[in-house]
Amino acid sequence: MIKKILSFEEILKGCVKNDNSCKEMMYKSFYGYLMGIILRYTKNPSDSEELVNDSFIKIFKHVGGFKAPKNPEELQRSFKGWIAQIASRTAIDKIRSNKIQFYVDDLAESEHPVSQVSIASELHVNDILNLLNHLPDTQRLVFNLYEIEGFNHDEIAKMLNIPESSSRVYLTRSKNKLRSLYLNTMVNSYEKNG
Amino acid sequence: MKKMDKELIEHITAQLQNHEEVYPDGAWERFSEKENKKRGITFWPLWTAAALILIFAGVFFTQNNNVQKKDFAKTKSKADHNIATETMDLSATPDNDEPSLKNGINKHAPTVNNPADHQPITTKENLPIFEQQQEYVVLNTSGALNPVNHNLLDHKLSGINLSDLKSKQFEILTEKKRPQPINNQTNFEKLLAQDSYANQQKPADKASGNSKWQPDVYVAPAMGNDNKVTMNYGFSLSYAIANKLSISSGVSYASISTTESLNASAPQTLSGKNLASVDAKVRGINIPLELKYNISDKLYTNVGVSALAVLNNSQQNSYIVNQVQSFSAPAVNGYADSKTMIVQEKKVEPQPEASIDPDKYIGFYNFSLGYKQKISKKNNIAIEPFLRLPMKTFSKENLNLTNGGLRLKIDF
Repeated sequence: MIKKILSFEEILKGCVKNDNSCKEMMYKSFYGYLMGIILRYTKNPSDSEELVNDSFIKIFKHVGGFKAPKNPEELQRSFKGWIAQIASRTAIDKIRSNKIQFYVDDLAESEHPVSQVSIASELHVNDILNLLNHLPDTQRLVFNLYEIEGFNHDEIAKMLNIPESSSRVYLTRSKNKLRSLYLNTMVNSYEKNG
Repeated sequence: MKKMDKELIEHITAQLQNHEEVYPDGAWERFSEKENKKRGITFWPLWTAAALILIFAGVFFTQNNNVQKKDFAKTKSKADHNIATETMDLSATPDNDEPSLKNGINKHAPTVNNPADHQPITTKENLPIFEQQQEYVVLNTSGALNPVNHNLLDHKLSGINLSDLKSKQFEILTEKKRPQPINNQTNFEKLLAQDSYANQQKPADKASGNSKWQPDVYVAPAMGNDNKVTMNYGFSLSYAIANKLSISSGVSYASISTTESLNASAPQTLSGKNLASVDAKVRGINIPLELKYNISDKLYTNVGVSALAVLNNSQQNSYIVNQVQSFSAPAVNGYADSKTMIVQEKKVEPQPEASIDPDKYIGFYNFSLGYKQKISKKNNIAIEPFLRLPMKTFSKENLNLTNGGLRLKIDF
């Protein structure tokens, strides 16, 4: 069998038609992207694939409802935005359902990230995720939503059912914590560059 | 410091926004398998329902047969009754008719007998009556209509009626004769039924007379969902705990094969490979514990569980892989046309030992329905279709070890 390399638009159409090979291609090409988003929210690596799969189930189910932008060049970018939203909503839902398990972890000295070789300009994603992993869940969530997803405090407050002021406090705390965590572990290498 | 803070957060944001993880092999397979599993679950009740229907149909059919036999006997006796009642009716109807006729006769009789009655009593008046009659005849010939004339006609009619009555009685007799051969038949059938009943009783008596242990050997070709025939051999021993109920156990060599197709399509990447199907073969020693119920002297059903101790377990995975092949063909104008194509290929690899299911025991539910036929005084041969349902799916590929087949058994 001779295969044709499909364009993104064709893959998208195939997914709407529930074509399995198109779904596979879609899954394989956006798995890493969604996993990148999911990892910002979850500490547990075994949960992350489940969350990615849950997101894909939602994506495949609702792909027919995705509205393509008028400009075809923006199609992929807008699709990525759409699936990113689905993934982050899925992750937030999961965190909400586990709310009872929320706890504030005090960072013990032995648990500090040990990647001392990194320098700030090349601060590796794994190091950043490591830093995020040391944030309490709510602080991490607010940081994610505000700094990375670009929501404002009003939206975050509605999303998480907390007062807007709390959202601000959480954000400030998360930044402070990240800063202190970073300073504790990597300040030397950073200051050399900075 | 402030600058550093800003940079740090900006850096984190930028890094995280642009970050993408690497796609790990097998993630799609796990995902699609999960989706398929959902469908698989819906198939499960179908299998069990089919098995239950088979068993219940078997039990119902055999019991229905017995009931039918009884019904037959009942309808026969009913038929007898019907015939009897019919004959009764027939005999009754003439009785009913007869009185009316007799009444008729009686009614007429005086008119008929009147002259006769008068005759012995008034023998002297004989002549005048004859004369009277003659007068009537004369009157008749004269053609005049008289009320007396009616009387004469009545006499004639009553005469006809009497002969009719006689012929009717004759008919009744012949009708009465007819049911007799039917009665004979039913008697004959009753005899036969009694005979067969006696026959039925005999082996049962014999069995109860013999020891309660019954050993048998069997060979059983079986087939799983991969349509490959595997052979099972075994020995079993059953112990009669009640008249119709016995408990049996034994040991058998069992071989089960199965296949699981994952509906994989060609990988979308050049280097990828997709798991298309898994074939597994499990061999082991099967130890059943079954309850056997004798529905009739020839039919029985088995329900039980068994544990399969796995001796050997091999698994083969077939993958679909992409290969890049280049073809070159000389074109008409002297140039060589070179084409590079992605070609799909199927590759079979044995599953590495480490990832083979480590389960040492597999549990099964067993259902079977058997038909037994005597071949000599002591020996029976039995044909027994069976179905083995695993208690859980096997290995991480969720292989379905459901299999069924035909057990050929010899009791001795």
